[in-house]
This record gives sequence, structure tokens and C-alpha cells, in this order.
Amino acid sequence: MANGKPPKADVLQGTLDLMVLRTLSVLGPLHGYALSARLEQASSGALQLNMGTLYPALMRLEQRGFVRAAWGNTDTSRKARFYSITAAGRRQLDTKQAEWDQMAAIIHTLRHDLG
Amino acid sequence: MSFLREWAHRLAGTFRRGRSDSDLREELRVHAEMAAESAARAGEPAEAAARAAAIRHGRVTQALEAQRGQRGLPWIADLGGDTRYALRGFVRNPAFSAVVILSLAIGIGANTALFSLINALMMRSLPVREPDRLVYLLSHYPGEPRNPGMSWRDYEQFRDQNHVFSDFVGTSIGRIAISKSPPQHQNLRPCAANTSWDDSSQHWGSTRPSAG
Repeated sequence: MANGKPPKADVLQGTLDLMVLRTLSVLGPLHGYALSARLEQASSGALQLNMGTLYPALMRLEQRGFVRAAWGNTDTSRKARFYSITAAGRRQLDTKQAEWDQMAAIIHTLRHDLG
Repeated sequence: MSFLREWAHRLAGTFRRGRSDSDLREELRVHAEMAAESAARAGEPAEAAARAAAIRHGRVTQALEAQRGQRGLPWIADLGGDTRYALRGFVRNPAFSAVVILSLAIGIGANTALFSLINALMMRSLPVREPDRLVYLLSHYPGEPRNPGMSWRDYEQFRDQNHVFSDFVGTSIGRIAISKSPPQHQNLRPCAANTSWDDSSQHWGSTRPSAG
């Protein structure tokens, strides 16, 4: 904070899955690096995902059938593993977004109406 | 459902190590490379760029470990490793292994024997027809411990004056020799038997003296 950068955000338990699914649903298939770059950009640098955090999460999502992965070529024709969201992933995203909105509304109410 | 699917995948991952490992490593290597290139584009020299990328994104080996933890069921792999290690130890140190195995065997054996005894004596109900109606008659004088024994005359007295119990049976657990035929040789071993003073053996249910 002393150097003016936003503080590094801790990834809230369970929110990483939501962020990954949301990004894939909006931007289409992405490889791991693009995904982490996009999340970092969207958070103005607050969210720097270590590979040791990102890839286990991607693997978990893949194991649950929410994303599918396949090797493909990037724009610069380099081989990379691309992740895309599945139908089950979209359903999960809808559910989690609704839960998140509800929680946010509750927090908002508590923050502003009561205090 | 998704939980079950995850475990099925993980179980499969536990037993397919080789192929997936190189796949995971390759994916992480590509990521690290891209990160380094991105840093290089920002104007850093190649070596510094790689270091900056490693700081930012972590190192491939650590990430690979984290991913392995998610892929398989680590405790199954660990269990296998521990078992192999233990067996190797046994082979290398046979004297120690023998002592360990023997003490465990004796310990378990002694416990089992003791439990069978306690179980038969205290936990299982007596092999009579209505064990919940059976009571044990003790005599007790003030200031003295309770006494389970009584004389034959006392027994007769209690039996004849009994208004409370439906029947009255006494036993003696002395050793007597029982034989159907005259002894064949000199040192016939006496066998243990409960002698019943009362012949109302119908109360003992299925248990009857083996040789009458």
C-alpha cells in the first residue's frame, strides 16, 4: 500500500471457481495463462494467480465436469491446453451467481440500512 | 453427483500416474514460458523476465505438486509407499521384525483369550431357560464380607422353607472323577463337573451334565 499498488487479494474460498467459470463463459475457450492474465487485468492487478492455485482449481472443475480441456494451438501457433465451459458448468455458474448475488444483497443491506 | 464424479476421476488419476504427469508438466511449462515472454515484452532482459514470471506465477515443480494433490487420492498413494517402506524395513532387520511380530501376536492373543473368558463369565447370560429370573443367594452377617457358600444343612433348610423362589438349586465346583466304565489305567484324570444337589434339572434348560 505504501507503494500505491492495490493490496493483493486473497482468493476467497469458492470464489475462484465462480470467476473461472464466468470468464470462460464470457470469453470462450482460454488456456491457463490467458485465464490468469484476464483475471489479473479484471482485478486491476489485485488478483495474481499462482500456477499452484490456478491449475488445481482448473483440475477440480474438470473433474466435476464443469469445464472441458483439450490441447490446441494459440494465435502464435503454440501448443496450449484450452479450457471451455460445459453445459453442467453453465448451470453451476447460474446457481453460484444467484447465491453470490443473494449474499451480496444481504451484506449490502447490513452495511447501509442498519448501520 | 459432481462430487462422485470428482472422486471417480481422482481414483482413476491415482492409478494412471505416468501419462498424466508429463501432460501436467507440459501445460505448466507452457504457462511459465508465456509468462516469461509477457515479462520480456514489457522490456525486461530474458533472465530477469523468467525470474519475474516465476515470482509472479510460482515455479513449475511446486505447481505440479499442488496439482498432483488434486489429481489423485494422495492418501492411497501414500499408503502404498508406507507399506512398501515398512516391508523393506522388516526384510532388512529380521530380528527386530520377529520381536515386533511376536510381541504383537502375544498381546493380541492374550487380549483375545481374556476377552473370551470375561465374555463367557460376565457378559453373556447363563445358559438357562430364563436367565433374567435367576438370582444368586449369598449369606451376609453384619461386619463380615458376603459369603457365597453354605453348608448342606443350610441348603436343605432354605430349600424346604422356600416361599419366594420357584425352585432352589445348589452347586459345588469341586473336582470329581466320572467314568462310565471302570478305569482302564491308574492315573485317570478327573474332569471338572458341577455337581448339582438338586435333581430338578429341567430348570437348567438345555444344559445337562454330560455323563449323567
